[in-house]
Amino acid sequence: MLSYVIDTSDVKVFVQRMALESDAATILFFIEARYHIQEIMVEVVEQLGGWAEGFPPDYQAHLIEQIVLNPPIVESPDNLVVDLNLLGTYEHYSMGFHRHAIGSDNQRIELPYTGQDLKYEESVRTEAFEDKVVGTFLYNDTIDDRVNMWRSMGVAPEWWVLQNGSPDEPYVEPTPLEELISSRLQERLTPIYNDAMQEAVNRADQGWGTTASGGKRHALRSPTSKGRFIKRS
Amino acid sequence: MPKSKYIERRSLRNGLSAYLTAQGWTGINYEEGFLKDEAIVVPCVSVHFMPSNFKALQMGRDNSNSIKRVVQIDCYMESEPRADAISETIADFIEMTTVSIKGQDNIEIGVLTSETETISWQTLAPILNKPKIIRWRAIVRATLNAYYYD
Repeated sequence: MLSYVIDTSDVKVFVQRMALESDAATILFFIEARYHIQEIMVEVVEQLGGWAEGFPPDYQAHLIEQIVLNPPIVESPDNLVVDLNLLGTYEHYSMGFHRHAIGSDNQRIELPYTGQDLKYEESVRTEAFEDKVVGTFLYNDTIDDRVNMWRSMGVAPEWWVLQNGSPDEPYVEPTPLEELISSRLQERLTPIYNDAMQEAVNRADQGWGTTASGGKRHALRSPTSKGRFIKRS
Repeated sequence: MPKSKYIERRSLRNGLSAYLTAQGWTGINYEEGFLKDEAIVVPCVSVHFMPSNFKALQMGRDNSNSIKRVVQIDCYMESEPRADAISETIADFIEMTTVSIKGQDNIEIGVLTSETETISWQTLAPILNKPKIIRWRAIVRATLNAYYYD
């Protein structure tokens, strides 16, 4: 009877080393990726140029500030997710509506707006807003008030209006914000990830690296006693 | 025939209006571009192609005659169920339908297809609790590929 013996021990050692090396490489990659994500998001918002016509500069500045302070990244052991909703939601955005409009109780609305009934119908309010507010210092005050409110809440829902546009004042054309961020991230991070993984393969292949190899770097082994573990107190 | 997002936009609008009509959506105002408040007459569906730079248009291009387009379809409806329903119907249309790109002489010069995983939609409530002009906005967004015949 003829039989073949295939020795897979080398492969097993390599696979074990590779698992450890790829874990280490992933951690290092995530640290680097966070930096690039933050930088790319700031670049995209800074370089809007003629896009997002009507997007107020104060909204833009505050959005950048929030991205730098608190980048919208969720990290788990296996992946890194950019979730723009962490910057703020449409509900946060709508809290900036109707500053100083008259409520059904004849009191002026102050921000945050939380859904109170208003005294006048939309067409009357829109006309009054465009006649008396747009183009005056009151308009800038309104924008300032909104931004200050969002800043105090620790959110920047301006991204939402940039992404989806607004048919109301300030009228903003929608912009492919998510698409731009994701395509630029892919462009920049894919080669960095590939390099990191190739490096992990090389290290696993060579048998040296950041992880224990052959037990020589095992922290629990005493350098003076052979084959015995140190008794820990 | 030059490639043009305006031709694609018109083709998508025509395809969408035919599909929605066949699905029983009648009396809808179809528009193109992003509308300002005063231009919106409910119920309204507006097809908008995102502004894009040359680099963005080149993403994913591999020397073939294809271009990536990001489109947004805004639906302004009278109630939340109608906004929800029409946005889901539009999402189905984008996912399942290949739209013919027709030039000025009505000859097919290419097709628009979608990238399924990029299709998203959401419905926004009116700003007020008891608005006198009821307008729910649903936003459908997707990345399409425009393939032109040689």
